[in-house]
Amino acid sequence: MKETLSRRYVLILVGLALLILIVGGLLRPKKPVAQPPSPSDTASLDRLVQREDLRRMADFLARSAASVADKVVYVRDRRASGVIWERQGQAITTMTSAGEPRAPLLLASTNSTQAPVALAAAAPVDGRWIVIVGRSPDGKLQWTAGLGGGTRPAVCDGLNYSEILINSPLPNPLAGAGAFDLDGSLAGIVVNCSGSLHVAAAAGISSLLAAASTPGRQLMSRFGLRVSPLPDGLRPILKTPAGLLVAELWYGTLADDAGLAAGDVIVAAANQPVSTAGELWKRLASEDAAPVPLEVVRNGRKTQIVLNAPPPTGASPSLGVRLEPPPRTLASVSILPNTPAYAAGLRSGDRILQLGALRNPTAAALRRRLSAHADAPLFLVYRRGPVERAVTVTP
Amino acid sequence: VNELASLGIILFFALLAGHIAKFVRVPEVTGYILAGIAVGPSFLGWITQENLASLEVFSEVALGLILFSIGSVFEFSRFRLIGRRAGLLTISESLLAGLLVTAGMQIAGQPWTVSLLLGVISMETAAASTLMVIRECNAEGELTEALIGVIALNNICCLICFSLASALIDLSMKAGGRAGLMVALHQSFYPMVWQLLGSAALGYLIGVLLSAWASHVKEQGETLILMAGSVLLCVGFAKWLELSPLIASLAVGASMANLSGKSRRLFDALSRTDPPLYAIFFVIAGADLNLKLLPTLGLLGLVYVGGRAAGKLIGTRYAAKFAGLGRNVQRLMGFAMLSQAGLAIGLVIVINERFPDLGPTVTTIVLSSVAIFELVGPLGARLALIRSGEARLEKTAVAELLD
Repeated sequence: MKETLSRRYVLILVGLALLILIVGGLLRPKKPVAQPPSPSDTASLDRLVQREDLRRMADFLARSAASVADKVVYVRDRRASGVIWERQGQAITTMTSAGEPRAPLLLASTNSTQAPVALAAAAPVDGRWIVIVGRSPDGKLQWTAGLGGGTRPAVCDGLNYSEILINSPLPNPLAGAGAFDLDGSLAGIVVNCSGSLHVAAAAGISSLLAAASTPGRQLMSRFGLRVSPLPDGLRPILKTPAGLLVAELWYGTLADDAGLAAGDVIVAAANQPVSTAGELWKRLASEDAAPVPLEVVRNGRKTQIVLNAPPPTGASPSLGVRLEPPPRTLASVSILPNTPAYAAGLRSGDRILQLGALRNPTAAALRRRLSAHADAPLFLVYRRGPVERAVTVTP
Repeated sequence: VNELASLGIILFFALLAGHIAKFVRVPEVTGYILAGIAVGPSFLGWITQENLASLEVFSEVALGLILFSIGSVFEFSRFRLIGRRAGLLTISESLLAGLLVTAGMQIAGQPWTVSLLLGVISMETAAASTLMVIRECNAEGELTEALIGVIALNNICCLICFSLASALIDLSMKAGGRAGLMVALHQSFYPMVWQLLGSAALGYLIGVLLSAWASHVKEQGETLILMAGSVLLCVGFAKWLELSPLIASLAVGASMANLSGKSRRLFDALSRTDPPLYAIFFVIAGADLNLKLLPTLGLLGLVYVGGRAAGKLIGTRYAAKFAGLGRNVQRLMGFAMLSQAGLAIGLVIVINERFPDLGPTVTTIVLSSVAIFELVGPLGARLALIRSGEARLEKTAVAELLD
């Protein structure tokens, strides 16, 4: 210590300094303590956070949808979305219109040059996100997203397939859209089954396509025609020993345009006798886009009908305007459930076009015939909406 | 780059910059700052903002040590000689700079609150860089002595004025609520009183401890540990108690100088070992400078720079004449006082916390002009010391050879 400062002086100053620090520290103005947020503040904060989370999720899903956009096209002549499939220039899509013979899946050509989409390794299980991406007619991307709920076996127009359950509704414009997982792989395709949309698992699409390409299915989707072998019981009624019965026919299709009707019997195609759908399909398909002459028995009389070949897929789109057939009869029926007629496919409101060999029966003739043939099989041709069908009602 | 590597980069660049600075005859401090600008986020980006944030502790310790060594000017025998003159010089240069900047800002159309805050910030002269130039030049003489005294008092003066100004602004903002006038007065003026008295008290207590222990210490290594520990303790406690680490460190140095007979030896030991820390301090200061702000300087910035420089030059000139100091001091002192850094930036941070509305204007002007003053200031100080003939550069070189 220097002599200029006595020890006492130093100690007094130490005491003073301590006093300043202690008193000063105690007198310091209290800093405003942060109030804990009120419950309503917390709730509104929570809401904000959740809203932000949702916005982020929507952004993420939109990005996922955009990332697969180049795999999805609008198939103009099918009026549905489609997904680039297996080969370049080929898209898989579904039938959309109720006025058409149904086919859950079909291939269409597209002018897209994109590489085909990769298939997902496995169908999505519970709780995995699926983004369903399609396109509108103006080419704009349309998408929705939902949580996958596993798969279940289902039937669409007589074809077995594996359906992916999804917790989000599928609006009609998404027919033919692709269902993608978040990695951008194709998990399934939206198919139209009797007017409602379902997601068919991608893994089963090839077998579904194969099943849809049997001769019978091809005849239906290309020509709007279903044929069945002529049952023995009908030979005397339809007055022909052999041939193929036109069991179902859709208005506005090539078969309808050619003048075929349900209840007709196709005896030969391209001058070759036909007795199975496979034979008929072979004749029709082998003639490269050329009209095929058919020999048809109607009311016991043979006539020639020329069936035009379908235009190649991807041809100019149809306008969707169709001439309704003239009302050939007014006789409509009322069908009770759990009766032979119901089992044969008849429904209330169907219009009867033919009863046995009698074409265009009047209501009185219909009533007489029905009471007279109460215990014998009955051949009927009826019309429901855009389709004609030929059935045999067995008591 | 992680913290340790960035520290290594800083030291190597400081070394390089020091040599280049000697070669082109600019102060080492300027070299360090330029090196900092080069490796910092403004240019190369080798040292990131995160690195700077984690290295901040070095800056605080270095500033504490610098203020601690400046505190030695308050030794009674020494201060008795220069105290009155230094006080006069400080008041004159600080007040004139503050007045000119405040008036200029008012004329330029700024509200009185912003003008006043800018005025009090403009008073500050960076103690660290000025002291470093003095050390580097190995200067001795009337100007040097006066300069050390003034930079010690200048920071205290600036802090007092800033506290008064912010208390005034605080009060004007709370004028509406009559009920709590005493509360408002307490809240506004307490920080000032607490920062001055509390910091001095803390510094004194640590200084007493240090000098009591120092008398028993024999080895130099032990001395260094003791001093570093004291400064760290002082800065740490000051921050914890919301005191001014600047004034507290100054007070430790002052108490030490007056209480310990060995103080000269201790200060010498410190000045021989602390260069790495100072190099880090100035490189970090350089890296922290945001040169991108320079174009935003604008008219207000020019008013600030002009007003401050004029205040320092004219204020010291007439005060030195009045105090009967030599011609060298009258002519050159102002040039040696242009540096501005640490405290000014610290005050800007305080303003942003206390008056968020006034923050943006003050921040832009001060930070962009600090970039100018921090580069020009050390050059001015070196020039002043060399022109006055007090710098003994050649002797240093010879002394280094003899070592």
